[in-house]
Amino acid sequence: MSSLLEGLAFQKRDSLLHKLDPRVKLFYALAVMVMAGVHNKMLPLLVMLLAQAPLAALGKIVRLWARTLKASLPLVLLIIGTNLFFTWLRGSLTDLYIVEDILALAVRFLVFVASFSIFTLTTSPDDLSLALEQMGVPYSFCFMFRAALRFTPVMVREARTTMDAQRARGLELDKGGPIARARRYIPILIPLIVNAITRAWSMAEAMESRAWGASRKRTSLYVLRLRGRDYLAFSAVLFSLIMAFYAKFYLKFPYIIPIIRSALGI
Amino acid sequence: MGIIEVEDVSFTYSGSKRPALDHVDLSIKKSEFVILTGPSGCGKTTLCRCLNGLVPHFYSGDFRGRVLVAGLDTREHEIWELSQHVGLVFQNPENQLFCLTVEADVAFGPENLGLPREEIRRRVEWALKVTGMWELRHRPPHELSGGQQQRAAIAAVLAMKPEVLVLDEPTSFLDPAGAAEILSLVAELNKRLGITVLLVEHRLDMTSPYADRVVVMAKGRIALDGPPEEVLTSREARELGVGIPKVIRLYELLAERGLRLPEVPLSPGQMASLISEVVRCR
Ligand SMILES: Nc1ncnc2c1ncn2[C@@H]1O[C@H](COP(=O)(O)OP(=O)(O)OP(=O)(O)O)[C@@H](O)[C@H]1O
Ligand SMILES: [Mg+2]
Repeated sequence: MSSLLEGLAFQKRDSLLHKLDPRVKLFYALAVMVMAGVHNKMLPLLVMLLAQAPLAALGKIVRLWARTLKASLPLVLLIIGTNLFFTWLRGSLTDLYIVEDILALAVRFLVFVASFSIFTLTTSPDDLSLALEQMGVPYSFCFMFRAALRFTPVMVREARTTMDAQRARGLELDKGGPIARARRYIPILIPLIVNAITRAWSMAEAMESRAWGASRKRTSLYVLRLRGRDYLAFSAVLFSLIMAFYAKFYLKFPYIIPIIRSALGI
Repeated sequence: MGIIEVEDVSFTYSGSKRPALDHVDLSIKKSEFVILTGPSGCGKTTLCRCLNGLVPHFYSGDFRGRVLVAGLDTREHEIWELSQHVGLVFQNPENQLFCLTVEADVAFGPENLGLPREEIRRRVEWALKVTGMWELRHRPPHELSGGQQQRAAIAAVLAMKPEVLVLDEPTSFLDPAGAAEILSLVAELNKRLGITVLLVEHRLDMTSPYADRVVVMAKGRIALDGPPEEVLTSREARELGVGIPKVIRLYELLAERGLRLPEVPLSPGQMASLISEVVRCR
């Protein structure tokens, strides 16, 4: 799970995708979500998944992107497992077409992960919050989001230090049953919570001292401006979205199991 | 009238029985460099909070008396107005930097004020340059050293263009090198730009050479207030546990042995020249 989160964290690189306007990239992530949402067959979903690999290459994030996908495998298996289980309860597990549809659901989930990871890996949180701000999302919400990202590594470091400190005092974290273990985490959680509250207070104090909430019309030092490449990328995404809807309503996709079977000769 | 006038101020935090400030009077003139010191819990932080309106607007409680900042009564003006006159720098640099780059953090205050973009840009550039943070402006705060973080925090406050800088133990989270870095920056801001400074500090060895005045608090009251040479050689200061600088202890020990220097030295360099002067005269 932690590597899944890591795979969503922004990576500073010099690439075309990184330079793209965050709003265009957000549109891309949402459009892919819609495209994958309206399709439920294996073939189009597989195409959507594979079509994103060149994009990851364009953003110079292939390794991290692949790692994110790999890290989401447990969830994928969970989706497949539960669906297979309920199909089995209904007694229709013998139908291979149903199995393919279930696998398609898992691929759909991978498509979601793939597009959002491309988005988050190439968009700095500052850019994202600026994009939200310029799209009319209230500043306090954007700030909250940014501060959460800013302080996550700090809190993780603090948690590690607290755990080490309590271990040094003889606290054994990985012994005993689940309840005994959970109880042992109390001496770690309490200082963490107290620290978080103290931190929140001093942050609020510092924010107030720097005119937080002074004017309803806050100015932003940075402005996002759409350039030629942004319009180009936007059009490409829009075109794919239209094509996906067209395909959904006017094309009939074959199952791939018979194709594989005939190719293998079984 | 001073740029800061604290007139007979008492303050008790709500929920607390003992007053944190007890009939405090303090006047600070423009461009003065004042050190505030005293034992833990004597009310130094609370006094700082009074100067930009955090007390009584952010911290509620029983507030008596009056604080004037650049002529503004802190009870009648909001924190954001007062913060354009008094900039407050806190102990822990980490909790005062909430953005993902130094530059964004420095812009935070002026952005909140809703200033025109060009003005924000000018102020940010000025604040970053004056604190020596210009080269580091695109770095995320958590990748910086403690001293650099605290400099960024000072830049962020300076971008509000305050006449007064109040720093509450800005070096207590830093190593000696970081502390020296911050203290010389503050001294320079005071000398070169004429910014009024109120510095809460325990390390008087490093800071007293810069100070025009030292104020000592005890139990919510002002116990001593005067030029460093006077306050730091007084018996009361020693009784209150003020960290007397080593050069002053040395000056006193020499005096006990009959070598009386013509002035009270505040730095080793000053002491060296005083001693060589006396020795040469003999
Ligand atoms: N937020 C608060 N709520 C209630 N009481 C407080 C609060 N902050 C401080 N106090 C109390 O007010 C008194 C003065 O505290 P203050 O923090 O001003 O002292 P200080 O001189 O800054 O101490 P230190 O050197 O430890 O920083 C103390 O008795 C403290 O317990
Ligand atoms: Mg304090």
